[in-house]
Amino acid sequence: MKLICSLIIALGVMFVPSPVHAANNARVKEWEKSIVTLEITRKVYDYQQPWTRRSDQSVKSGVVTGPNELLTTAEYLQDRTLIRVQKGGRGKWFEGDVAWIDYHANLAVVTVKDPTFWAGLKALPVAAKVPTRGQADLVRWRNGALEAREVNINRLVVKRGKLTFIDTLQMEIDTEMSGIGWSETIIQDGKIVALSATREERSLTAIPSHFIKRCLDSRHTGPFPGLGYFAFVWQRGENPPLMDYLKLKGEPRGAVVSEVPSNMVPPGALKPRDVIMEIDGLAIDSQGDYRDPDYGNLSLENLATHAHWAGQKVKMKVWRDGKEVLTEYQLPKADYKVEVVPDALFDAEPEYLIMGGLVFQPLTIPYLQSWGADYMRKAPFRLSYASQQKASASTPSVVVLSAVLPDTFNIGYQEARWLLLDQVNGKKISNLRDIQNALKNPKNGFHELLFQEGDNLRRAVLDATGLDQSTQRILQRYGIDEPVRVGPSSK
Amino acid sequence: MPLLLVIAALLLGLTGRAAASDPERSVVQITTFSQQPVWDAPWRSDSVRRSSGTGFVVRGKRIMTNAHVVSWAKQILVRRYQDPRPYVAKVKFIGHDCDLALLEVENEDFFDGMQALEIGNLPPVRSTVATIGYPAGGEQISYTRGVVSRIEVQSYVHVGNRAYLAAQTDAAINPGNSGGPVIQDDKVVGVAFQGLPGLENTGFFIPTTLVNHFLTDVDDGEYNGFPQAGIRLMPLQNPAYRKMLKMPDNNLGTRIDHIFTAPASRKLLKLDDVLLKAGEYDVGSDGTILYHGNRVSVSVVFNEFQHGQPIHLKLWRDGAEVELDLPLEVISDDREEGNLYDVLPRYHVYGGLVFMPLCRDLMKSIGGNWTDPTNADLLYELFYRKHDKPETVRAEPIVLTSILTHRSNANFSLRGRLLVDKINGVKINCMEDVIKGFATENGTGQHVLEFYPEHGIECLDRKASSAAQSEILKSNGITNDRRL
Repeated sequence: MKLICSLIIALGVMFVPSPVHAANNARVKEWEKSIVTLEITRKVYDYQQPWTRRSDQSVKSGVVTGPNELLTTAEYLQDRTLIRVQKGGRGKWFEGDVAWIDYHANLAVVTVKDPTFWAGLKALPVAAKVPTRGQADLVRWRNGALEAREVNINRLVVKRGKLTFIDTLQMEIDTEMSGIGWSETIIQDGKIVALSATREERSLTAIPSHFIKRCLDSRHTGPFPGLGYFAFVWQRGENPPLMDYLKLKGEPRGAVVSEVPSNMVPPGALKPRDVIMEIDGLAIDSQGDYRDPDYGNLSLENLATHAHWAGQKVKMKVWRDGKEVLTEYQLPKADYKVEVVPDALFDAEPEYLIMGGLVFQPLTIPYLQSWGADYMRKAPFRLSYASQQKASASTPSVVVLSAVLPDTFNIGYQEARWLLLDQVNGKKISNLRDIQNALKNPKNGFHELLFQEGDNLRRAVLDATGLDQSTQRILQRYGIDEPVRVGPSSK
Repeated sequence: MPLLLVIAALLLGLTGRAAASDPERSVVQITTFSQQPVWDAPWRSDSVRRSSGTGFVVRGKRIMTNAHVVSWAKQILVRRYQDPRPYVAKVKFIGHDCDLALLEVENEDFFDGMQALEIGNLPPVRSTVATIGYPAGGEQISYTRGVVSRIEVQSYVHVGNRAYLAAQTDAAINPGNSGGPVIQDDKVVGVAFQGLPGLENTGFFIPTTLVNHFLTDVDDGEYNGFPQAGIRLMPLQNPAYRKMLKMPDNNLGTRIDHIFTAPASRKLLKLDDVLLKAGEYDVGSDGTILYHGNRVSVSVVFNEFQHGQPIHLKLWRDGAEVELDLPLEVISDDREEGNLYDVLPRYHVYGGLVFMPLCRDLMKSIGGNWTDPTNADLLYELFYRKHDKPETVRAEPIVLTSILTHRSNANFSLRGRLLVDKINGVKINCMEDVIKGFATENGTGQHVLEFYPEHGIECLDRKASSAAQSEILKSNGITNDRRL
C-alpha cells in the first residue's frame, strides 16, 4: 500500500505541467501557425535512357515568411508537375505554385492562390543575424503533430552548397535526429535562423537566415540578379619564402591567385601571382580568411555572396609586382552552363540524339550520377575526368556516345559507348545542335564520326543514305517516340 | 573413407605416370628472400620477405621459373627433388613483361643427374595436362591434373599492362605452383603463372610459344622482350565502313584505328589501313586469327617475332591490296604504366621536398583505391595525356611526392602529390631537370616551384633550405639525397 502511494505521488509530480513546459507548449502552438508541409510531384529522368521518365513524390517542410509566401529549399522542386501544401499537419491539401526559385541559393518561395489556405497562418520573422553557436529548435510536422526538437548549432562555415558549384555560407548543426534535411525550419528566439538542407551522419547542414534574408529582400526589390562567385583559383599565402618572392614584407598575409579565367571581367582585373590583401576593405589573412564582424573567421569565398550579387563589382586591394594595386572584380553569375560538364539540369528534359542507333547526349553530372552516388569513382575515368575540367572557348561542353541500340545498321559499333565525340564530318562537336548541323553535309554518302583520342574506338562511319530509315526502324523497335530532343538551352 | 581412397588412387595414378619419365626430378623448389623499396620513402626498403615458387630445368643448365617468383630477390635458394640441400641461384635473364625468368646455380653439381625438360607445343583445348610444383599447404612436391579449358589472350598481371596468349586450365594452380611446368606427354607445354581471384578451378599457364620466344630472345645474351606493332586495331564489321573503304563484304580485315609512337608503324602504316594478313595468318573482321585451332587476337602473331624482325603484312589501302614488311620493335615508353621491378626508384630530396618520377608503383603507394578521382591529374598524366595531347607529353613527369617537415618548409600550403612544372624557371621533363632547376640562379633569395595543371606556386628560402639539407637527410635516415 505504501509502495502504491509512492508511485501515485511520483506520477502526480510527473504530470504537473511546469512553467517551462507551458512556455514550450505555447511556443510550439505558435509555430503550428507557421510551419507547413509540401508534397511535390515531379518528373524524374533515367539518363541511361533519356527518352524515358517517371513520376516521383517528395514531402518536405516549408515556413510562412510573409503574405502569400512560403519559404522552402529549392531541392525537389525541379521538374515539378504538382505542388500541394498542407497546414496544421493534417486535413486539406491546397495546390501551390512556385513564386520564385534559385537553385544555386537552394531557396524557393511557394504561394497558394486559395485565400482560405492563409487563414490562421502567421509569418515567422527571418533573423537578420545568425547565431554561430548555441541551441535552437528544429521544427517539422510529423504524423500530424508538430515536432520541435532541440539541436546544437556547431559553427558557420563557407562551403559548396547542395545544388551549386559555388561556396556559400552554411550552418553546421549537431543532432542525432534522423530523416531530416528536408527543409525543416531552425528557430531560435522566435525567429527563423536556418533551413535544413542536408544531413550526413550526425551533422546537419542548413542555409543560414542571413543568406536567406538577403535573397528574399532582393526578390522583393526587383528581379533576382543571381549569385556571383569568384571564378579564379587561389592558394594560401602562409609560406614566408613565397611572400618574400612576391616582395611582400612582414607577416605572411593574403591569398595568392594561381589561375584566372580567360573570360574575366574586366580583363586583367586579377593576375596570376597577385596577392589578394583586402576585399571590400576586409583584410584577407594568410589562410584566405577574413574576419567577419558578426561571424568571425570565414573564407574569402563568402565575400562573393555576403554583400553582392552577380554582375556587381567587388573592390579588391592586391599586391602586384611589389606594390599595392586597387582593382575591381566583376562577379560572374553562377550558371550551370558555364561548366564544361554541368552540375545540374533543372526544369529541362534531358537532351539526346539518336542516329542509326547511336545515342548521343551532352555529358552532364546527372548523366554521370546514373552510375550511383559514388559516380566519380564508378563512372568511366575519361568521363569523370572531363567533369573536372574547365570550359574553354574551343570546348564549352562535350557530347558523349552513351549507348548503341543494336541494329543491323550499327553492327560493328555495338560495344562502343562512353566515348566523347570530337567531330562529325570534319566539324567540331560541342553539343547536339552541332551534330544536327554536321549531318547536313555527309562525305561521299557517309557520315564520319571521330571520337576524342583515348584507349577505345576513334573512328566510326555510318551510311548517310540509310540513316533516317534505320533510325526510324530503331525507334519503333525500342519504343522511342522521337529521335532527338534538343532544348533551347543547348550550349 | 571411400573419398579418401579415390583421391589417393588419383594421386598414385598420376605419380605413377609421371614417374615413368620422372619429370619431377627436373622440377625444383625455389625459395626467394626479397626486399622491395618503399615507394613513398624511396631511400628505404621493406623488411625482407620469404616466398616460394617452383622452377624446372631447361637446356643449358638453367632453371626456368616465373619472373614474379624471383623479383626483387636478395637471395634465391633452389632445392632438388627430395634433396634437403639448398643451392644458391641467381637470375640470369628476366622478362617481367612475359613473367618468365631463367636462373643459374652457382654450384653446377646441382644439375648432376637432372635432365632438361623438353619443351613441347601448344596443347589442344580439352586435352589433359598435369601441373607439378610446390604449392602452399605442404613441403613435398604436388601433382594436379586438369584439362586445357581455353586458349586466348589474357592480361599478364605481373607487369600489369601487357596481354599475351595464355592457356586456362582447371588443374589447381595455387601460390607456390608459380613457375612450375605444365606437362603433357612428358613435355613441358606451359609454365603455371596466375589465377583469377574469385574464380574456382581457374588457373593460367604461359604457353610454350612464349616460352620458346623468351629462350630464343636470350640466346644473344640479352633479353629484349616481346615486340608490338604499336597500333590499335578495331573490328571492321560495319557494312558502311567496309563500303567506304571499298572492302569486299566478307569476314576478313581489321582496321587500324590508331598508331602509337612506334616509329616504323608511323612511317609505314596509315589510319584506316585494313589488316588482311599478318605473317601467314588471315585476319578476321573482328581482329582475330585462327591459331592452332584457337580463335585469338592477331596480336599473338606480332608476339611471335623477335625485336627488330620484320613481319610481312597484307593490307587494304585506298581500295587495293598492299604488301609490306613492318619491322617490329619492343615498345618501352609505357614502362611506367606497368609494375616496375628490380630497379630501385629514382628520387631526389632537396630542402625536405621529395621528388620522384610518376609511375604506377608510386600511384599504388597512395594506398586504398589509387584510381580514385582525387588522383585524377596524376592518372591522366600517367595513362592518358599521350593519347590526348601527345605534343605536351613530358619524358618523365615528376611528382613532389611528400614533404619531410622542417622549419624551413613547414609553411608550404600546397600539399598532396603535385606534378612539378618548373623549378626556378627550368621546365621539368625528368629527374635530372630537378637537379638542374635547383642549381639555377633566378636572381632572388628563393627557389621557386611551379606546379601543374592548377598553376600553384611555392617557394623555399635558398639559404635556409641549403643549410637544412644535411639536417633533414640525417633526421630522416637518408644517406643519399638522390638516386638518379
